[in-house]
This record gives sequence, C-alpha cells and structure tokens, in this order.
Amino acid sequence: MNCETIKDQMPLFLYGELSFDEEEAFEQHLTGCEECKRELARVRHLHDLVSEAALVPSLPLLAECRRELRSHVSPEVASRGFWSWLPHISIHLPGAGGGAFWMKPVAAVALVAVGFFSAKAPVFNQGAVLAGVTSSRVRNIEPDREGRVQIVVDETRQRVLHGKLDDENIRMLMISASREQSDPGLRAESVELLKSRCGSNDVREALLQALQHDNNSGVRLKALEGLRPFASQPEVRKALSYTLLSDDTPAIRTQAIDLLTASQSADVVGVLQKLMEKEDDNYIRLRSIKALRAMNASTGTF
Amino acid sequence: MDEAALIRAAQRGDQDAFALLVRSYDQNVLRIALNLLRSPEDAKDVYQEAFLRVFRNLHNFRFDCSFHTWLYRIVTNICLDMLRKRKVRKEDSGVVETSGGTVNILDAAPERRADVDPQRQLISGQVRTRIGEVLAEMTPRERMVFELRHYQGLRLRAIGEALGTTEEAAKNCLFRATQKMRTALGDFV
Repeated sequence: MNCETIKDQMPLFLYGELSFDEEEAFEQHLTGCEECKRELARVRHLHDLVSEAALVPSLPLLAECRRELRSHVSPEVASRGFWSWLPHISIHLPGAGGGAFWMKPVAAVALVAVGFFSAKAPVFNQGAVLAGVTSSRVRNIEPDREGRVQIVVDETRQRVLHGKLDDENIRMLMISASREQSDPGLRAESVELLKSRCGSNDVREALLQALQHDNNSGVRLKALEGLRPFASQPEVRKALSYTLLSDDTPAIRTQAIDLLTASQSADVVGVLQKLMEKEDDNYIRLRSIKALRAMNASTGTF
Repeated sequence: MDEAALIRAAQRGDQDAFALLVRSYDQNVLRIALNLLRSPEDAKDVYQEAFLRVFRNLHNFRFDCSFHTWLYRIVTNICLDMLRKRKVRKEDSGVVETSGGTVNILDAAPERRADVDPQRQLISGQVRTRIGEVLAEMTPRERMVFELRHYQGLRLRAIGEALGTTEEAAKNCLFRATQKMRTALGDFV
C-alpha cells in the first residue's frame, strides 16, 4: 500500500471505519513511514479541531422547542382524546413559564432539581388545611374526647431546588434521579448532567450502576460516555467487560470494546475470548481478534 | 420501563410514555438539526416536524427496526429536504438573524478549550468560521453523513440504514466530506 492510499484512508482510520484487513495494512505501513506518521498526527489534530466546533443547543432553545411542540400537538390531543400533556413530574426552568414537563433543563449551569419529599402531617381541626395540597392520602382517623377528629395525612409535596452540580446535595438528588425506575427520561437527563462530574466517586459509582443495570440503552450509552475518561481504572474496566459480554445493544458493545482495547492490557484477554464464543457483530469480533493477536493470545473458536 | 414497553404504551395512547419518548431523544434531534442547518430557527422547525410525524405515525411503527433508526430516518429526511431547498442561503455561512441583530452562530458556539489562551481563541474562532463555510460547500448528503459520523458518532452502517442507502455509499460520502474539510482547513494544522 502506498502513501497516497494511506493518506486517503486516514479519516476513515480515525473513525474506526476501516475493515480489519485495511486497518492491519494501514498500521503496518505506518510503522515504517515517518511521513505518514506525521500526516496522521496532522489529520488527527484537524479531526479534533472539527470536534471542537460542534454546536450545542442552548437551554432556552430546547425549552422553546418543547413549548412549541406542546402547542402544536395540543389541538390534536384534544381532538383525539389522546394524552393530556399534564406533568406528573415537574422540573421548572427558571423564567420558562408553563409546560413544566417539557421544560427540563439540559445543562448543569442553571440546574434546577426537584425533590419529592413525603412527610406525615398531623392536622388538627384547621378547616381548609388541605386546600392547596398537591397530593394527599389519609392514613389514620382518630376521634378525640371533645368530638373533634384527628386525621393523619400523607402528603407528597413538590419543592423546587436551585443549585449547581458542585453542590453535594444537588448531586445526591441527581444521583437519586438517575435511579428513578419509573422514568427513563429523567434517568437519561440525570446521567447526561452527571457525566461531567465523573471525577467524584459517588457520581462514578452511579454511572457504573447505570451502565451495567439500566434497562434503557440511551441511559447506558450516556453513562458509558461519562466513564470514558476513566476507562483505565479497574472498576470501570470491570464494568466495561461486563457490558461487552452482556449488553444487547451493539452500539454500546462497540464503544465498550473500543475503550477496553485502546491500550493493551492482559486483564481483558479472558473477556475477549469469551466474547468470541457468542459475538455476532462483525466489527466487535474484528476488534476482539485484533486485540487478542496484539497480546499474543489465542482468539478461541470463531 | 424499557424502550419497547415505552413505545407500546405510547402507541396505546399513554401520554406520559410518549412524552418520555420525546424527551429521551429530543436533545439529540435538536443537536443534529442545529449542526446540520446551522440555524436555530431551522433547527426548531425540524424538531417540530420530526416529533409531529412521530406523533402521527407512531401507531404504524412495527419494530422492524429500532426506534432510534426510525426516528433518525425521519429527522434526516426533513433535514435533507431543508438543505436541498435552501442550498444557497446566507444561513449556510453561519450568519443568522436574531432579535439582537445579525450574529454568526459559529462564533457564539461554546468554547471548550481555548478560553484561556487568547491566541488560540482567535485561531479557534477562525477555524469555526471556516468549518461553517466548508459545511455549506458540501452536498446535503455529504453534510448529513459527516454530521452523523463525526458529531453524532453513528457508525456508517447505521447511517446507511437511516439514509436508506448502503454502508459503502455512506463511506464514499464521508470520504468526500473529509477530503473537503482537510483541504479547507489545511492552513490551520
């Protein structure tokens, strides 16, 4: 393979889109060609520059989109008797007005978290005390000697909390939200926000849990992205190995194997050999074979 | 509730399930549209159109492909239509009209690494402007494939599926797009 072909293939190499044979030939050429090595470093730099130019939608833009979608869909909802768009969970974007369900923030900077706090509230003969209570359930009724009634009510109250992810309390609520089984959207957004705080042990632990046990692939993918900078740590490698062998989403397994095989480390040999017994995705198999060969390990039966 | 259960619930008319489904994907949809069209207004239109189509056609979704692929197919079709319609408009250069006047949204893009070194910040701004120009010069398909591979991290096979073409055709588009990018940004590296 000559230098021109190699240069043409450089972007595809960086995207991991060369076939196994092409990648072998590419790397072989590179070991003996200083000029192509320099060119690859240049193309890699270019690749990074382009990545830095990515546009990220602002919070107000996302909020506006959600609000407009609601207003477009509402007439159809009314005519079809379909969903009401009423929130059952409210997370408020400051200054964004109504439509709380669609107003969830996406960045940590102006993070607003909602806590659900239940409290037992004994109420004594206070007339309209229940007015304004969002949600309540009578737990116990007990008459007293003076003919009045004591009622114990469980109340679910919503509270709006403001803070940054650097605040431990906010982080704890976010971690709790990342485990909220009934709401994959909430989990996905929590993990998305927590990703940037993976240096903290509790956050990393939450993301490891999400990667291995969340039943929503979107949440798992976000958790994996957050753990990427820590891919050399033993507990992360262990979780990546588990993911590689058990996740049913090829895109996630692909990222897991990319991270695990980025550096030659003997700790993955057993995992890769086991993987070869059952993996049917071509790309993942090829990465596995390549990594095993690089470590002079048997590729098992395939 | 996993995604398949969420979709089935939404198909049965569960309002919360549909809302959750939208919320699981809408940030990505908006990001794709914004990066492809480089115009917040157009990105908003894509967002509305895409999720309205999902809303109206969800009952026809039969799990023949992943919901992700189905949604991306809708989004990419809408974006391609818009790119073709306004092939040469000034939004393509990254210049947009806002209530605050005319701004270059590439200049307004978040600065990730160059916030300390002024020299690097200057170069970074020039690079972003140039990238906007190169993207405008690409064909809609090249631009789409480049966006999905570089910024969204989709593999070429998935891109082929979303665009209704082969992996090989997607690869050719990516090759041409990266060549254009390389030629245009050669001075910066």
